[in-house]
Order: sequence, then C-alpha cells, then structure tokens
Amino acid sequence: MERRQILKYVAAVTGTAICAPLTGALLSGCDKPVKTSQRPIAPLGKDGQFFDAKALQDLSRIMDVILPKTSTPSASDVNVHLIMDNMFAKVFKPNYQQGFLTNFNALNDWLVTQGFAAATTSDQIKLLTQLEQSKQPKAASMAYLDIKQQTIAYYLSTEEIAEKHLNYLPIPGGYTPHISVQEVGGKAWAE
Amino acid sequence: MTNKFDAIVIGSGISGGYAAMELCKKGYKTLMLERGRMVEHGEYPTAHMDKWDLPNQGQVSLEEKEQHYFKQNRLHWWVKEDVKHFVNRDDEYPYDEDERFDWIRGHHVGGRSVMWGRHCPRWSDIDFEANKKEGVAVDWPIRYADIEPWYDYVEPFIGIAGQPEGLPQAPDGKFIAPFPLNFVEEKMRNAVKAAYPNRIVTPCRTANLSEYNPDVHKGTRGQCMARNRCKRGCPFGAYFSTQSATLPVARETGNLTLQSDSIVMEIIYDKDKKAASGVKVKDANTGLITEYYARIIFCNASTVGTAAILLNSRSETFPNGLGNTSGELGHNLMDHHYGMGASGTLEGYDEEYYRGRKPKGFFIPPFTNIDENTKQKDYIRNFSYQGGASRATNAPTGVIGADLKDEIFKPGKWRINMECFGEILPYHDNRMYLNFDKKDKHGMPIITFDAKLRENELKMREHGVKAAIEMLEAAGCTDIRGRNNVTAIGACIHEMGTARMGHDPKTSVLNKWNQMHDVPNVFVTDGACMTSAGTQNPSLTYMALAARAVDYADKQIKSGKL
Repeated sequence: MERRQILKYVAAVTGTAICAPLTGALLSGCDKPVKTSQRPIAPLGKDGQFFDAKALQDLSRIMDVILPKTSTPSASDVNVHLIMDNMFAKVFKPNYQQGFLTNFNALNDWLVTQGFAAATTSDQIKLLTQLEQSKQPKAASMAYLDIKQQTIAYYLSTEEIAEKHLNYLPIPGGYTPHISVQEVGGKAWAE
Repeated sequence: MTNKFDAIVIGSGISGGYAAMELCKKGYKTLMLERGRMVEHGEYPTAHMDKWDLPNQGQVSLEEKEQHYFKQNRLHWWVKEDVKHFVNRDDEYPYDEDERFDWIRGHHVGGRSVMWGRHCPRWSDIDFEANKKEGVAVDWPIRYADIEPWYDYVEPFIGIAGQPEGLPQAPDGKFIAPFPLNFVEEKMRNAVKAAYPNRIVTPCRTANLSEYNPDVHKGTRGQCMARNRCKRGCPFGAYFSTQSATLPVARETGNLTLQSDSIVMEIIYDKDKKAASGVKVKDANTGLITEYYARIIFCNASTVGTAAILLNSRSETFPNGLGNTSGELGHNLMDHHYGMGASGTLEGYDEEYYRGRKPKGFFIPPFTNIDENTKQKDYIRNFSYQGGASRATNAPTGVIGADLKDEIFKPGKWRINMECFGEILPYHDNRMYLNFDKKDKHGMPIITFDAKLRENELKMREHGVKAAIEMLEAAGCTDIRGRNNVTAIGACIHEMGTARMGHDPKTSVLNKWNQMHDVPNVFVTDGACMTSAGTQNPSLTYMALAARAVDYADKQIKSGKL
C-alpha cells in the first residue's frame, strides 16, 4: 500500500489534521555522514548524523531563504536543518535517501550556476520561486520541494514556534465545533 | 495464593475485562489471567508529550522497525513513538502466514482496550439476519431483540457520545452528548443528505466522556479534555478501557485476582465430569507451570488468541481442540477491509474554525443493501465510513521568505477525508491454525494464518470509493483524490469468527449464549464468537454479549444446571 495515502486516511479516521508536508517525510537509516559536494565553503560547522558539514550549510542556507529571520525565528534558528539531518539518519529509507542526495547535488550545482550564494535576498527568493513554479530543472526542483515541505513541517513542530507563535493548547478542556479564526488571533492551532 | 476460584477469565482486554467485572459484581471469586505485562491506570509514559518531546518527529527509527516491528509496522500508521510500548515486538511474538495477515496486537493488561478506536455502533437485524437470508455460512442464533437490552445495559457505563438518527441499519444507543460536527462537516452533512437522502453524516459514536457523570461512569473516569491523544492511554480516564473502567470496578468488589505475565497454555478437560476443570498456566518470566481450577471459564484472549488456546487444548475426548467437534474452530476468520476512500479540499470558509481536538470525526452508516431499494447487483452486504474535516497546514506554493512566514502561522485550507470500512464474509477457507512442529520461546505452537479477501469484498471496494467521491463532490470539494489500496485481512484490527455462534453443534462452536456446545462451562465472548462481521467496529457488541453471557451463566449456576 502507498504510504502517503495510508497516512492521509488514517488521519481522516482519527479526525486529526495531517500536515501535508510530513506525509513525504516518512520514508527511513544510515549512520555515517554522506559526502555531497566537493566545493569548500568556509566556515564549516560539524558533520551531522547524515549530512556532512558542507551539505548542512547548503541546506540551512536554502531553509533560511524559505523561512528567514523576521520578528520570528528563522528555520536555522530553531535547528530545522538538524531535525532534517536526524530524520535522514534515523527514519528515512535508503532509496529515499539516495534519491534525495542525487537531486540535492543537482540542486546545488544549479544554484552555483545561478550565483545563488552571492545573490541578494530578493534574488535568492526569485530564483527559488522560479524553480518551484517552472519545475525545471527537474531534479533540482524535486530536491527543493522536499526541502521546502520538510522545512515548514519541522519548523512548526518545534517547541519554540509551536508554543510562542501558534495557538498552543495541550489540554483544550473540551471541544467547540465552531469558532471564528479571529477569536484565536488569526493563528492556527499547534498540532 | 489459592489456585481454586469460582470463575477464570482468560484475557484482560475489552471483553475479558467486562466479563470479569460482571462476574465479580455477581459475587464470583474471579481470576483474570493476562499473558502480558502489568499496566496500571496512569502508566501511560507518552500521554503528555508534545511532538518535540518524542524522538524523530514521533517516527520510530528504521533500524528499530526492521528489528522489532517488521510485521506490526506493515500498516505504516500504527507503530509510532507515542504507542510503540503497547505494540508487540514481532521478534518476541512470532506468527506465520500462508497468506499475509496483519495480526496487530499488544500483550499487556488491558490489551487493545488501551489503543482502540472507540467507535461503538450497534448492530441491527439487517446484520443478524443476513447469513440466513442469503444462505451464507450459518445463521446467527440471536437477533437484535436478544442483544438490545444488553446494549442498553453496557452503553451508559461505557459512556458513548453520539447523536440519535433513527436509522434502522444503525440503531441509536443510550448516548451522552455528541462531539458535534464542525462547521464544514455540518455543511457536508446537509449537502450529502440533499443529494443522497439515505447517506447520513453523523458524529462518530465514540466511547469518550463528553459528559462525565460519576454515578454512572464508575471506575477512574473523567471528562474528555479534547486532546485526541487517546491511544497513548488517557490520564483523565476520559475514554473507556479496562484500566479506566472495568478493572477498578471489579477490584472494588474484592472478588478479583488479576495475574499478569500468565500464559494460558491450555484449558484442562475432565472427561468424567464432561466439563473443563481449569487452566494450565506458564509464568512468562520464570517458565513455572501452575494449574488453576474454577467452575466456569470465560475465554476472552482475543479472536486469534482464544482459538489458539482452544486448538491447543487437546485431549482424548477432543483430539482436535476443546469443543471442536464441528471442525469450525479457527475457521471463518473475518475482519473489515479498508484502505479505500477519498479526500478533497473545500475552498472558502476561511473564517471558520474549531477549538480543541475532538477524539473522533464523522460516521456514515451503511446505505447499500439495507433494503430492497438499495440492493446491489455486484455484491452483498455493505460498507460504512469514518472521516473528518479539518484545516491543513497553510503552505502555499510559489511563496517563500517573509511572505511565507505570514502564511504558515494561519490555518490552511479545509480538507475532508473519509475512509471506507467494508464487510468481509465468513468463508470456511479463511482460517488460522497451529503449527505443532514449530514453537515459540514459551514452547507454544506457532499460529499460522491462511485467509484472504475474495470477489465479494473486491467488488464492494469499487463502490466504496465511487460513493466517497460522489459525496465529496456533493459537498462541493475540489482536488478530490480517491484511493483503493487493498488491505490484508487483520489490517483493520477487527479479527472475528474463529469460534462462531450457531444453532447447530455440528456447524458451530458456541450456542446462542456464547457457551460451548460441547463444554457447557466454557464461554467465549470475544470476537471469536462472531457469526458474521458487519461493518461495525465490534467491541461494543463483545461487551454486550459478555454481560449477557455472565448473566446467563449466573442463572444457570443458581438453578443448579451448571
């Protein structure tokens, strides 16, 4: 059976909202960091559980264009890149890992040809938006979509964001079937 | 400790717990045996954990799944960090398959009453009469009138939130207040009813206390907090389980002895008295074997567990298993099938929302083959749905940066999901059996499954998907996605039928009182007793039958007949 679908209908049965991006994030282990690229960029942090230091840096740079620091934290402020690294190391299956790495290398190569690292923030946003909408080049856009979906899902599931920036209500105390979004400040419930 | 009791109950799950409580309340010194470990009410280690408190976003690591849950995890939604301690490890509890069978279970006090789905629809005469009308398998020896007073009896104690609808195919119960449909579910109910008058979208009939009444909801119960973390175990006792309800009430009588880590190897048969005399039990930790004796035995070890114990209880009188002169023991294995349904997006209603996470969504009772007008050409029996509407994560495409951050904290679009549950017919060829040439670490023969879906089920699935799509269209959904992923038997965790009830000892194992035709002091009131499967989640019916059987046994004993 197809795993994404199972999650969707199970969510339906339990009456729980499923976080769409996470349905792609299920698939699972590898213990050693994998080398992804040869281009050295300083300063490098430590290798992760799955991604090497260079790949983690590339990842967090992309994530912080997707979710930058504003009045709320950026993706890397709440360690979304390390959550993704852990999911690749512990949960995702080898075929998904390998497929992602191939696409991720294609994405990095494409970003280099576009001068991504040195571009202004608005040009970086333009580049990634264009990649998402045109779906070209294919492999690069697939890696980007994976990163975007997982970035949003993991970001919203962190304690910092869920407790301070969503409506966090661990013990609702009861169920009210109909309220207005305004009543809760226009914000979504934390999962 | 004595080894003589008035009654022995094998199994501490939803039906064993109920049988033991009823026996204790009637004054019987009762020994309840559980093969798994002790879990006391409140011993729910993940009950208060948020997603960030659980490792790997709540996902179990690939390594752990491959080592311990290689069969349990084939459903992909069941083995998660928040409940894995209530799921059997496959490397400790092996079973074999001629055909794939998802035997999903947890060996601990309370069994699956800790993790169950809690939806409690009643059966109707449409279900009880179907086998006879259609010439399928054997006739049920009971009708709705036989069980109705027992539904009435168990439901208030269980506490079932639901909405009366007056439908013949889904009789109303003694409900407490429902968890109401949310704004979009209510819109869907009205739109579906307008387009298809016999398709009713109603709140699930769920064993969660929307209203707590301590005079009725005895034990360690409490008001539902709408956390929707039920399957982790509820520290508030807001849903019905052995731990929250039947166990504390049984203990309060002073008549209960609960013994965990006690594997029942077999029921001992006394051929002179033509009755069971007791059980032979192996301590799961020490391997020590002890015999316990009682006047009556309730075997409630779950559909598969009960059949395995009976098949292993071989004697001169019953060389093929206790009470198995019919040869039906282990056969007619059923479940429900699912993996079919649809989901869609409902645009608009951006200002509408809900507060709290209700424990269940909506229920759509069967609407095909319920009368002459709804008779289908392609298949017999029917299907029902469970589902819900909720607002998804707001992650618009083509938006990133500060603009995206403005979006992701808002509720996303409304999505409606619905899952279809279909009936599986009782086929003699669908069975489980014991492989006496292969033993587990306790020396028990390995349970082997040989059961599959057949033509009627597969035909029904097509209609189940089509009707789901029709209803989402009627509700005004877009981006509708149907699905039809055939599940293995067992996947719905509603196993039934291995020791069926019937009129005739030649073709059934139990009589209309859940009493063995061959061995009158042995009763089976778990899923093994079921003569057909319906589409209803079955636990409510097991509890009603358990209470009814205890009442009958008590009257038989008091009148000197047992």
